[in-house]
Amino acid sequence: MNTRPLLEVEDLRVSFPGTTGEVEAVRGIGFSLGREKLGLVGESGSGKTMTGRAILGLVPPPGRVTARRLAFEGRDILGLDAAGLRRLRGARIAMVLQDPKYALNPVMTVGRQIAEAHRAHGRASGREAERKALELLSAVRLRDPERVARAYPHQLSGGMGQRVMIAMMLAPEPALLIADEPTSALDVTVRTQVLAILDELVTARGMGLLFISHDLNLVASFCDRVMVMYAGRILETCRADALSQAQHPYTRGLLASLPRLDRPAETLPVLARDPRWLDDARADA
Amino acid sequence: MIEVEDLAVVYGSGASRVEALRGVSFAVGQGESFGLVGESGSGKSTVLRALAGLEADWSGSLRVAGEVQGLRRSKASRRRLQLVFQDPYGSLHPRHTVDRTLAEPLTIHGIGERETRVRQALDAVGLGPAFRFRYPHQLSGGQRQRVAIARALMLEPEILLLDEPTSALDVSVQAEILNLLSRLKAERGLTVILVSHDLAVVAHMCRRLAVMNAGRIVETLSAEQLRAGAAGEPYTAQLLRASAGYDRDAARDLVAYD
Amino acid sequence: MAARGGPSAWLTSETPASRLQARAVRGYLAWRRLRRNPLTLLGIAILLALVLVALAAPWLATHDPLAQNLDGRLLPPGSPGHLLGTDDLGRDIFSRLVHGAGITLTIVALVALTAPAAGLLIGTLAGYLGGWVDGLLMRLTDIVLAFPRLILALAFVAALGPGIENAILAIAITAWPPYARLARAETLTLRNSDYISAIRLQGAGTPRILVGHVMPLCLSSVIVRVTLDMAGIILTAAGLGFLGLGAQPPTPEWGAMISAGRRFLLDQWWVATLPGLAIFVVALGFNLLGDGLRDLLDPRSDRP
Repeated sequence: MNTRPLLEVEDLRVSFPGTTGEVEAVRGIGFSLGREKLGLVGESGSGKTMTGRAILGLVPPPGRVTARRLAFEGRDILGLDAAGLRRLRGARIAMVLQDPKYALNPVMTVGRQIAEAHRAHGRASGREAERKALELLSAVRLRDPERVARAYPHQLSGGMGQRVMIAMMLAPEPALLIADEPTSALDVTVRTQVLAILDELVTARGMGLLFISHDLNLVASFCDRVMVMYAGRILETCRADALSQAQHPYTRGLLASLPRLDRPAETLPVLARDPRWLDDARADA
Repeated sequence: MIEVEDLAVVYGSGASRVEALRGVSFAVGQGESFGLVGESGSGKSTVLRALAGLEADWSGSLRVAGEVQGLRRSKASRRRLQLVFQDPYGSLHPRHTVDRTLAEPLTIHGIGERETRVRQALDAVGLGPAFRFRYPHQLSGGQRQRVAIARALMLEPEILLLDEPTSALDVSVQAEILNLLSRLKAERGLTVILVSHDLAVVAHMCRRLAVMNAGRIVETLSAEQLRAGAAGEPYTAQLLRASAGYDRDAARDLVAYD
Repeated sequence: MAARGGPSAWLTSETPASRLQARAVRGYLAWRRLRRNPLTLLGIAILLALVLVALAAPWLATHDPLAQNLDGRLLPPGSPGHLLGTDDLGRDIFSRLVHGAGITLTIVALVALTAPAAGLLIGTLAGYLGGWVDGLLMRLTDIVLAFPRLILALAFVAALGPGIENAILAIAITAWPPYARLARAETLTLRNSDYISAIRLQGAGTPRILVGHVMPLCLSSVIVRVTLDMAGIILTAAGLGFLGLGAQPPTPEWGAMISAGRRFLLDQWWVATLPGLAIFVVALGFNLLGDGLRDLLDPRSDRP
């Protein structure tokens, strides 16, 4: 196993033309990701989703992506054409979205969809792909994989759908998984189950995970490292278990504004935003 | 103030029959804040909708301020009790200005001094007069939720039902809305029922809470008990553990409760 | 945008200070979006021209549209004094077209005011109340829809007697069902939304909810549909005229003019073709405007 990071990002920018000029959603961020769970937290509009999409080449037009370096396993991603990107996306980098309902084909059974995903990349026979699909469904701890394989997406609960989605993404055995709020539509106990699957994938298969979320507590307890994003920039990066000792006033303010079971309060401290934060940025991470 | 006894709600019939609520009973005193927590499908929102009169059919008995509530509500009983919805993007009419949204309840009930009352309501929820003639799409999520709260308070209700009022908002905005709700509750002596999946939010707002699962109340406990982790039922204990964040061991021990 | 002053700043303000300004800003932003599409503008221009021509008909027309001149029958376009030629009774085609614009507009306006209003009312009522009301109203809609429109209109005109008023009535009676269906479908998606629940909680009654809350949201899709249907309505009116059941001679209605000219179609093509062209241009104008309005009024694009 080599030590080179899976993903290297330098000075990544995403901009959209607006009525009053360019609007930058991501304003020059850089980080690298190894075989680890890297959290990306921020509020809505902070640019965290666009960061994930930019890596996959999925920024919707007329958005524009530029970067000094955007490399996956040492290869440049930005220079790839549509076909190259598609090959990379299916086989080596996978994405899990917040709502599985929109990502699954509603008129095809789950088993067939996973088998198709497997066949498209693995060139396996039909029988083999089916067997593989069942194997993947049990890998994401669905209790009755045969029944789930025969079901249509609308017959699944949110938690089951999300697990099916992960199973489908895993079919081609990707090296990097980008998960954009994969658990925010789920109940806490189901959330724990889905996270356990992701955790195992990183620990056992040596996959890299970029975990995009708005939930600071969750990221702190789940990830290895955390990047805090604000207004298109990364304000700070720290070890996840040390997030409670974060330095930046924004991170501290966010943490303080959360109601907590172990800290009763009459009123919650409200985050006072400092315009200077807009220019704060850590270029490397 | 509110007495719920043996409330049951059933959707559909035959094979698609779903028992959303299976005999829920609790009581909330005047000026009290009561929390309902549970996962999706536990029936916590259905309780609120039945109380508000938005469910078409239910059985059991509902009493508000000693008055038995039927399936149909009078205009007067509507005034006593108002609801704030979860999704601030879906609870405001997209083609109505803030002004119209706030003034309409006054028109319905024939209340005068609309100008002053609308302005006071905007002030009370921390929105200035500048917001009065905006459309919902010109507002942020937090601002919309403030408008929704202002609308619920236009008729000066005694009871405010809150259905996950902050779950669609960013955490920094959530703190602002929770503070606003605490302040309004104290100023107006409101009786509040708060529904949420977030144990910390419920413990912050409420003295007492009921944990719901699969249409039933699993147990009722005080916020202090919840904070101390003194859960009487294994379901509550599991919920508490899962809410605290990710924990590899907890994931292994998960049990399904029905 | 803050740099600009005067009326433009007032019209683009993010913080309107009155009900009037809030509406004006909304209208202005809609106009700005409309302006970006040249084809929509062309549609508007055609319809504006139609209205102007209809209003100025007495001054634009070079002849009395009813005056016959049997010496100057079937003159080709470009003949001295007759810009677009004359018909089989020597009447000036240009003057008849100009006067016909008003008749076409009247038909369009009356149908556009009655049929969608009826459809909107029936559809929202059925969708909001549900149950047996829904069943009854929708079966009625199905029955009317099951007849081909022109045939049903023909039956009505035959029963009521030929004439422009009866033609309009017959078209309106046959035109409402699509709007009712559309409004019902929209109402069904709105019925359980939180903002409708919210106003019910405030104690609003059904009429207030339907008129103040449900109808405004159904209105945009109905308006788009009406605009796109206008071409068809003009053609139905023309068809009734053509069959001799609409406007009666000597009224210069475009459909009736085509009908009268068809006997000379091979030798004197202009008599039937010119009113046909007029119908084509107006129908095109409505279609272009309808397409533009669809983009504009799409609720998902409710942004400046």
